[in-house]
Amino acid sequence: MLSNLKIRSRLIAGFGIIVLFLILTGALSLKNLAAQGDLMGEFYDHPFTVTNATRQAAAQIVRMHRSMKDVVLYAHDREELEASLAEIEASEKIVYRELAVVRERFLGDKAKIDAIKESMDQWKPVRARTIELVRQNKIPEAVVFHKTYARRMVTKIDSQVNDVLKFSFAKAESFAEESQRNERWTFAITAILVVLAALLAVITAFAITASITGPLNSAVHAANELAKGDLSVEIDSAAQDEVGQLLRAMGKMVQSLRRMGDTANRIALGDLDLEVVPISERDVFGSAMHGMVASLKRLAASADRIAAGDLTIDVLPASPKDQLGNSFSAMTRNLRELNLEIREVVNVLSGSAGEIMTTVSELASSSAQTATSISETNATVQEIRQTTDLTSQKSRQVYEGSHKSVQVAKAGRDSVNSAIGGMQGIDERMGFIAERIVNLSEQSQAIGEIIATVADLAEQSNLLAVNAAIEAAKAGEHGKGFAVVAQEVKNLATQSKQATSQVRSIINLIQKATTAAVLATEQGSKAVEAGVRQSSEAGESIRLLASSIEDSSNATLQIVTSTQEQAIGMDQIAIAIQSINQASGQNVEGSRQIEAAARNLYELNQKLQKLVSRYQVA
Amino acid sequence: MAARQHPDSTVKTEIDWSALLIRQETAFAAASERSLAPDEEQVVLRARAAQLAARPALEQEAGATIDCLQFLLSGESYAVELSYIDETMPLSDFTPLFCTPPFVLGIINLRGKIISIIDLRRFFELPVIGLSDLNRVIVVGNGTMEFGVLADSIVGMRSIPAKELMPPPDAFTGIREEFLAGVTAERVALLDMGKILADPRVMVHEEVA
Repeated sequence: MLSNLKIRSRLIAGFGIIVLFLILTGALSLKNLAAQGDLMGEFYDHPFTVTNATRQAAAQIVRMHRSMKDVVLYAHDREELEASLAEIEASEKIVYRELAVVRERFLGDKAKIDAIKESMDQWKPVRARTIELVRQNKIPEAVVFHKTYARRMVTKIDSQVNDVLKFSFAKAESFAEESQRNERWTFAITAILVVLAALLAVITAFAITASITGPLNSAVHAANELAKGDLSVEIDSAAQDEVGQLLRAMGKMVQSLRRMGDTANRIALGDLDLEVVPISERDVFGSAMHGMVASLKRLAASADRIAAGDLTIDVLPASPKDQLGNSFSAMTRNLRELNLEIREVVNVLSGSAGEIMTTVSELASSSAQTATSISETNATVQEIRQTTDLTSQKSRQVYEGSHKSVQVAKAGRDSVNSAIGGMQGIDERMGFIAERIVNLSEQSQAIGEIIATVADLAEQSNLLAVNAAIEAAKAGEHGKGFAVVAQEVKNLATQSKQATSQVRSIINLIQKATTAAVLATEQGSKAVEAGVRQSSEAGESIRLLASSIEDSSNATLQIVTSTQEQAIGMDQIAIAIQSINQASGQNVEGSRQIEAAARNLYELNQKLQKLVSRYQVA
Repeated sequence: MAARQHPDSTVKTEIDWSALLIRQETAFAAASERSLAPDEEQVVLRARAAQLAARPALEQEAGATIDCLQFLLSGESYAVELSYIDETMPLSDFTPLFCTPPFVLGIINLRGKIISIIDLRRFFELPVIGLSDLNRVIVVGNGTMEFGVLADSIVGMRSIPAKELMPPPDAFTGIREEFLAGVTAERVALLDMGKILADPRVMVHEEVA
């Protein structure tokens, strides 16, 4: 029954049943919750409120009673009395208000409340009387009045109030019990419904799954067999749902594949004599088979013609990726080109064979000429050999000469170095001489000082001589002789003075001479310096000369070795020319053989031309 | 080839060196034996003796002469009669005196005797040249008065014939003319020292309040 419904309808039906059950369960739970809520509200409105109000009223009544006691006790204190009276009034108001609330909410007999109210109304004149007695200062009477009436009234009210309270408590308990009952019932119903819904969901799920997976499993099995390439499976189904349709389509596909397989087998065996008709316009496999058969037939026809020697055909490939077609096309093209090239080569070959024959005859004549040239060359080589020997000798002499020059240059350099050393010695001695001359000059200065002393002495002697002459003149005739002596002393003083001036001038000369000598030594020193510089320059020149001589010496050494090598080379050339002479003899013989070979080549060419002409190219 | 002789290249001047050494030795020898050769010495001494011997004869013929000392002062030659002269001496250190006339140069200590020095240039109003160590002092006196006369230099002794003396020319004027005894042909002015010594102007009598 299920297999005739579509999978979608099946799934919708199953889920629908489950959702229905869920809604039912939810509705029941909500209804019970609402009932519980109502119960709680009622509980709050009636037993709870009534109890509270009753208690409040009872408390105020007790307070009123206590205040009345205060009135009686503290009657002498007016202020206290008035405060107590005000308190009683306020409490009374609260009691009436609470009683009104209780009367409205009370679920029991409302007459009980009216009774309490009545008692309260009766208590009021009793209190008024007591207060009046207090105001009239009849306190003992007030106390008696209060004790007799008020206590009785209050006790009565108290018992009435307690009665009401009891009723309220009983009512509250009944409310609680009802609520609990309701809760238990709701829990049981909800649990049963949930279990039922779960069971139903499981059963539905199993039924739907089984109806889908059973036929699908057989389809999967068949598809696996097909995937392995086994076309022998039989697939069919009577079911009207999607799986049934799938199985029937697979059966058709298997039949079509079997037909294609047969055709491919025949092609594989090489049988091209068949016609493949595609099942529909979009039958890729069928049209491909059709194309393949056509292409293979075309290629077979082309191969037949090539075999017959016709290379003029062109094979067009079915597509750029057509390997066989491309290869066929390339093959015919290459064969054509190859044939053409071979033809050209054969033509060239025939021309070349003729040329080779003429060349060979020329070769023979030139071989004879070569032989005479070789003998001339041999004579020339001998002459060069002798010249080389001479060169070798001369260059050896040059080398020895340059070697000696190098040694001489080294000696020259040593001499220059020692000359520089000597010059430096001279320089030092020049300095020494200059110093000595200056010392001499200083000593002549000392002489000058001594001369000054001598001049001073001469002056004093002169003065003494004058004084002596004066004394002599004073002595008159007896002093004449003494005057002569004094004159003589004066003359001596004058002479010594002149001598000192001469010495002074000589000293001046000496000093000038020493200055000149110092200058001369300085010039000498400078000259020596120049000499040192020039000799070091000379030394440098000699060094350069030596190095250049050494270079040329090395060069001549190289020349010597290379001329020796040259001589050896010349010998080798002579031997080589000998070999060439022999070879030229052999050349003549060889050219004869070449002539025979060229003739053979010509005949071979003729045969090749015949072979090539069998292929038709254009 | 020349390079071979390089180490002793100073050889070139060797000959000169020996000649120089000889010259130097001869020079040293000459210096050490300063005394004249015996012959030369003899010649000098004879010449001197002859000179000395000739002098008395010359004086003999002169007749009356004045012995005097000739000296230079401001480029002019003066002479003083020997009879007034005590001695001559170099002008060494002297002490200038304040509160004296300008012609009194100062005082000197002559062997314990204090004498004043008179600068005749200032006295005669001649141009004054600076003093030096070469200046001389001629000490003059006449028994009562004694002072030193400053001289640029002393020429020497001289005997002037009395008849050769001539009166001073017109160029000598003022106080100079007053103290001149005469002038010789060689323009030597003979000072009348007796008059100078006696002149009251030479006396210094100044009192400083």
